[in-house]
Amino acid sequence: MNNGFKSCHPTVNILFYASVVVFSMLIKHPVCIAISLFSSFACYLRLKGIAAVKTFFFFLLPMLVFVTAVNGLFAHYGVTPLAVLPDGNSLTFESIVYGFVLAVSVISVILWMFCYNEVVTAEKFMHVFGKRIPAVALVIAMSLRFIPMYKEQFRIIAQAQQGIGFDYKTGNLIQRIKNTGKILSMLLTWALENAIETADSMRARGYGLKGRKTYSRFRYTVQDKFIIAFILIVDAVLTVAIVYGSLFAQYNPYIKINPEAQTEIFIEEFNLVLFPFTAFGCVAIAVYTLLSFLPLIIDLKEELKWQKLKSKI
Amino acid sequence: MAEIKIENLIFSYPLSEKKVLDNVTLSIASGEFVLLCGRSGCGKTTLLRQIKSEISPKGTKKGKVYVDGEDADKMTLRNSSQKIGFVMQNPDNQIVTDKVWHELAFGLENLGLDNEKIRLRVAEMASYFGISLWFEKNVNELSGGQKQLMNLASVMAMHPEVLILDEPTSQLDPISAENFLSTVDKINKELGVTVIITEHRLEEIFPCVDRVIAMEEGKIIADGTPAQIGNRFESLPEFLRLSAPTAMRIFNEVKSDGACPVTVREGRAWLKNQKIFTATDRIKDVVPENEVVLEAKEISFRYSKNSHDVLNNLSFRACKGELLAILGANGSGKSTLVKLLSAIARPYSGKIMINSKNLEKYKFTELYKNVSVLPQNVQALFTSKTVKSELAEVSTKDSDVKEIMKLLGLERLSESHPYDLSGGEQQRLALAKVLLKGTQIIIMDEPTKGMDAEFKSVLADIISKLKSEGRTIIIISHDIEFCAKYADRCAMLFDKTITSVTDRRSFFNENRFYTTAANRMSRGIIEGAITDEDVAICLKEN
Repeated sequence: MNNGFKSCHPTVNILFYASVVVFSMLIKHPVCIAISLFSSFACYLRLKGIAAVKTFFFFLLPMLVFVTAVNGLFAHYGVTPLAVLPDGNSLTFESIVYGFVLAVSVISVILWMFCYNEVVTAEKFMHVFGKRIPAVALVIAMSLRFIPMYKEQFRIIAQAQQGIGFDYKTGNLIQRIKNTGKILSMLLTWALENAIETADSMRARGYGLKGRKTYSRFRYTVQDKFIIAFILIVDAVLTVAIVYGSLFAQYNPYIKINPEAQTEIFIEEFNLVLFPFTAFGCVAIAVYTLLSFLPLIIDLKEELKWQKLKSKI
Repeated sequence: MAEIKIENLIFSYPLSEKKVLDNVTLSIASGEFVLLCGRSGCGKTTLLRQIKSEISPKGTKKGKVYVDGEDADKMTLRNSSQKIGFVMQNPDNQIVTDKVWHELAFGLENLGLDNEKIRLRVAEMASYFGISLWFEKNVNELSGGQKQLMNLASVMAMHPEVLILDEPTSQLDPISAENFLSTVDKINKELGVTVIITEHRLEEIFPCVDRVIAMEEGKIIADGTPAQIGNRFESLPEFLRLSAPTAMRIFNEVKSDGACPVTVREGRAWLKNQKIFTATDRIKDVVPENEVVLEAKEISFRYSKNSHDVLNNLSFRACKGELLAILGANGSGKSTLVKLLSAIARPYSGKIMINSKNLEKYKFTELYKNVSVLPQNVQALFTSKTVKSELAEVSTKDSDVKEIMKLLGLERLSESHPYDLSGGEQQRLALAKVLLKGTQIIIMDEPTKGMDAEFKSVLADIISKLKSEGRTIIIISHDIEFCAKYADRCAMLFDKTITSVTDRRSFFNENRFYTTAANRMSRGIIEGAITDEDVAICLKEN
């Protein structure tokens, strides 16, 4: 798919993923953690379709259980024992809850990274970071060109050698290492020989002139600028909220959520101290939700626009 | 646009007395389309590179080169890189970046143009060269023909006034090559860019150019329009006579007079007025039906479970002592077939029998005592530092090595590094290495790719010697002319299977487009002639 969030300016993409990853790691407030998980999964589902569900059930869910279990079994902080383990330590309510919170936040971060991989191509990355240092940008572009080429040549050499009866796959380990080494040395000769021509081709097209620029295919649209402003504002609000403790959550030694508020609810059974949300806390959660679902909102907007155009036709 | 003047140019490489360019004086008018031809090592490339100083080789040089009145040696890099475009032989080695769009922009980035200007030029090039469809692709996903077209476009993006092409189509299949050349022709005719090109395959390029210049040993030995060259055939060196267009060769073979035809169309017009003495039914060759040494029985293959079949129920036989040519277009599965026949990949159904024994049942070493493969990319065979040690790796018998070196004319080169050899010499070395294995079946994957006419006749001689020893040669090729001339039987690989295996005459006579120039030229006038010799025989009084 080539519209919506994916086709936004690379700065938008990278700024967005940097923000959500950082805040998923920093904010441990249960509501925010839940938002992180749902939004990151929803975005990944949108990008990968049914494959995302597979990843979730076969990779992320087991991980969630594992991290929670490990934390519960090996960390023994907290004041609310639920049971006594065979080694004499107690299994506490706090360590299980924190293990779960930790696992969910790790999973969200992983999901965001997966999304990042889908959306931010090498080209987009280069646009954002390569402009300042064109030499490095070119080296990266050239590596991306040459690595697949060398891989292909390795295959060609190996097959050509097999075709005249030299094999690198069979024989004992030492023989195989030796043969692979031989192919690598051939590859090196080949690469160096051919690099001379590449250098000529670069020179023939004026490489080495002063004032080389890096071309980029991306342009800022008004929407891009608007989105960047939005993300920056949300980042500021969330930073303030974190600094002032509006999204505070503590899991050790006992669980304490939103301590900034005046009144408190205490659930004695679990040593759980809950405070109602402050007004600013609510605002922070609201903007965090908006930020996390931003890619989906943009995609949806785009889709609606199409629907509208279609119905006009 | 620009004119080029070369005055008394003498050039020799460092530590060498030999004059690679020997007093070359040449003047090329603005907008002219010039073909420079000569056998490999005659100084063509050296001459071309003298025009573009930033890539000219180091050595001793006398004389001057002027581009638009400006001394080429004193041109600034900015000026030279902008004014003179240069496209080289190997499509892969010229590519610098990973994306097609980036490659198009590379030269413009170097010139320091701003983003909007680059965008405009890149867009313009992409549409002029028909690249728009694969504009966003990675370069390693492209075919050879597409790569070379992209290289041309990325050079043209800099708006050069002179375009120099050094054997640009030698690594391409015939269809991509034709497409590439017609694009070059279009650039010359529509934009008035001065074009200088070197080529081996003269059939397609001859009709396009204004002027043909032939070189030998650093000297210019012929210079004129294609038709003029055709009328002075006798005075030309053999390499040029061998590689000239078919119409021209037949015309001169029968020593006709009048204007020499260059294209197939002109050839037909000329042929209609000729007297035909012999009917072709007198020229018939017998294909011996020997014992079958290799047989593919309904083999099917695909690369992965979910992909489509590359080959489907393909069957054929190869007999003892014959040259079987398997022809087919790009992507028809020819290379895959080579892999299957040499046990690099396995068919998922069907059998391959070698000497009536299933290929699967052979042990590794045993199999490669029966079959060996000359790969398309011959550099992939070279492991050693010298030609001699390269061959010693295959056979420890000194006498065998010597004999094979003699057969392939490598004695002079025995101490050279394989990579220092020319393309044709590398091909010969690779062939020597494969032949030294002494296998009964030899498979050659595109053995004539990028080779000149002289090499082809050398190869044909070697093949006929191998045949007389009772060995079987299977060549996989695009080269219609070569197969028509030398193959015993031909097979067409199309739609994942081999449709028919017939002797070369019936094979090419049945085709209308996919056939030799001689056949296209003589169709309806002389029936059944497929090579220029056939046509010439029919035209001669005996």
